[in-house]
Amino acid sequence: MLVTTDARQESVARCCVTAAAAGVHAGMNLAEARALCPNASMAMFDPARSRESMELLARWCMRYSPTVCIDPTATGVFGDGLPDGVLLDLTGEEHLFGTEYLLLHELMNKLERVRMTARLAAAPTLGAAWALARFGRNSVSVTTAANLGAALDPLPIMALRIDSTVHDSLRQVGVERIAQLAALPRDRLASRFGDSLLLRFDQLYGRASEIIEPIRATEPICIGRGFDGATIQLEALTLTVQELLEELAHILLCQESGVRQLVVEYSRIDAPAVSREVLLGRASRDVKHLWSLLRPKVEAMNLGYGVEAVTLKASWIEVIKHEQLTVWGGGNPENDAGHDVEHLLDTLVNRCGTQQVLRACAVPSYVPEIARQFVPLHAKQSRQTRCGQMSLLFEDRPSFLLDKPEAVEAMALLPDHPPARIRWQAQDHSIQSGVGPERIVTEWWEGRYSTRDYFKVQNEEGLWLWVFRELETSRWFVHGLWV
Amino acid sequence: MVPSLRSLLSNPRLKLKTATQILSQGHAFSDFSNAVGDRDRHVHLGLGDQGIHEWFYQPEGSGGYLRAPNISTSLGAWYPPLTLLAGLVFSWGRSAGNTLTNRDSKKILFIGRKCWPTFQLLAGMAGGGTGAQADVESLQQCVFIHPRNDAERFWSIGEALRCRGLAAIIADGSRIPQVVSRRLQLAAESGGTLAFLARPPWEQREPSWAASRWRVGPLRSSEASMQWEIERIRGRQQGQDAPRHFTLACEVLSGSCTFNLSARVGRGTVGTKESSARTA
Repeated sequence: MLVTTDARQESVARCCVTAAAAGVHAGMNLAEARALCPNASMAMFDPARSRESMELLARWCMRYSPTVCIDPTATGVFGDGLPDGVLLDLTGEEHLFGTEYLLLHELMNKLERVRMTARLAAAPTLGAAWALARFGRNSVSVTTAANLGAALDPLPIMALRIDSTVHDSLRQVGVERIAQLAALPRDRLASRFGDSLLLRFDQLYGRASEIIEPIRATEPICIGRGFDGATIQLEALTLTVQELLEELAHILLCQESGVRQLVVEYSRIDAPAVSREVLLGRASRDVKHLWSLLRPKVEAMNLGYGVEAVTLKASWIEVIKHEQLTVWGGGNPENDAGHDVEHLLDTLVNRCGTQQVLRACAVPSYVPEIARQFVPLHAKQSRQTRCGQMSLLFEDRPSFLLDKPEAVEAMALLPDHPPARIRWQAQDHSIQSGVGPERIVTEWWEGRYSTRDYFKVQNEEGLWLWVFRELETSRWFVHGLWV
Repeated sequence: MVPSLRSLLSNPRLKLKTATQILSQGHAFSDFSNAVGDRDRHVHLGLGDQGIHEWFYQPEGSGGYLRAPNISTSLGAWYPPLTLLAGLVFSWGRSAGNTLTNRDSKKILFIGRKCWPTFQLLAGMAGGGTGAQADVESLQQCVFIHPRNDAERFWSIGEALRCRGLAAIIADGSRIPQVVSRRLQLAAESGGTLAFLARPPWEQREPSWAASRWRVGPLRSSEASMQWEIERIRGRQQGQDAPRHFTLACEVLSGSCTFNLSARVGRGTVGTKESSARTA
């Protein structure tokens, strides 16, 4: 279950099929949901991540259709304005898979393989497909123009993608099914319930047009060069890569963009192709910089029995903003310094690895080891991550946190008081003063429940330590130092 | 503007206590850093020089901290004086001429997992604990590098030292060979970036080419105001009359970290080889 918190209560935002079968639904109070489904694991609902995941799913669906878009209908099933579906234009695609049903069946199988629950519907109109996917009887359904009316008639009026006020008004006059709505005189519907109802009704049967905005697929730039015969001369290969880089820079200049991920691939004879990639923190088409990053990788690549072709692929491209140039040349010193830093960080990332060059990501949690997270500097989502709850960053915390709390032998004279003496790292520390306790309870939904009483204590040398007692085990740990 | 230490101390009518009061009344560590950064004219701290500055954190009489890590993994643990180093870097950045206003370009590199401070320390230091959104966003200035081995760590430090756009570098300088030390010092002199290397206390006798070397130890203090004693072990281009001992206090109320100079600043013992022992 994914949980959301507002000022008043914690409630369920999304739930799995098992939880739904137990009676849990979106919007339900968390306490009630836990009573119905006590063994369910829970996590906080992140709307931004949900939107990103939906976009990823839509991009993945482009293997079935070139025209794919995220469902723009604002209402959604969950009523929180977040998209809950993907629309595919299957016109002319069904013959590639046999029939529309086989296409949907394969799509469903692949989604089930990654443990995603989905409902799929193919229909002559977008509105009908939307309605049947959400309110139809079967999880996979294909409807033709001939039986469209019969399929839609028993559906509830909510399947029309109308807002809740129109829906309530219709229910007040006893209209609950689409068949009942279709039987009403059309001229009176517009005056009583507004034009939007008629528009949605017409879109359902294909009498009104509907425009969708598909996701744009960005084609990676791929350029290559083949040799007359296989070569093992490093000079020839490096020269070729440099020429390809210049060619790539020209293409990028025409597109007003730069590359953030670049892959060089050697096609070798009697051996599989070998490739290396470089990652940049900011889009660039500077040949000198790109070559400085590629060069160590190109020189270290195994040539095998010979290389037949070299391919350069710009797999991640971003638009570069225009910069004002100065009349007499020479850039802004601040910008130059900034470029120097960017180049340094690119060099470090490509030499040490993406997981070794990190930036801070403060997670809003009171548990110290959870609150302090690091994310790769050049990761795709890296720049979008924002610091969490600000107030937690101004708590009194040690300057140095141990990777893992270290167990110590401690002697406390009173139960809720700081220890009088601890033995840590084979050394006795006599505690002179202490402050606390500050109780921190780990998140129970993360699995391991632990209650810690933290104390800030000072030893005889003046060193302040952050120690805690785990209430469940009564063991003492050192977790940090003020150094 | 904080009065220069020399003018304060040379005034016979001005007692040391008064100087302490003047310096501790709301003058943040940035003032001290300004004075320091003014090319050693006042306190001869040596940080104005281009080059590497080595720091050893050694609690008073801590036998365990002086042991080399050859007995067991738990023994020989050492910790860098992160509060002091981060405070120096951020206050340096706030001082005139070194503003960290361009947050995209002025990065602070923390090389080696040993030298990664907590976010609370960084956020507190960045804005003096004002709690503004800018303070939180200043975390984005910090880049943390986790080299896989010593060679990669030394290479990373060298590359960073040659870069002219960085605000500062705080790096783990343990097990650094003399040749590498020389190479890094040359790189630092060419790059001009403020560079602090934290080293374990048992490496104090190791030869080094650093511009200055410092020993830091905690002093018994209250919870709200922690104090450290700083001793300059070695500093290039500094006269024998330059003070060697300093005491720093750090106010840590409500997450803010503000440094204040205490009474012993400037009074430090005159630098002779015999007097390098720490005063009580």
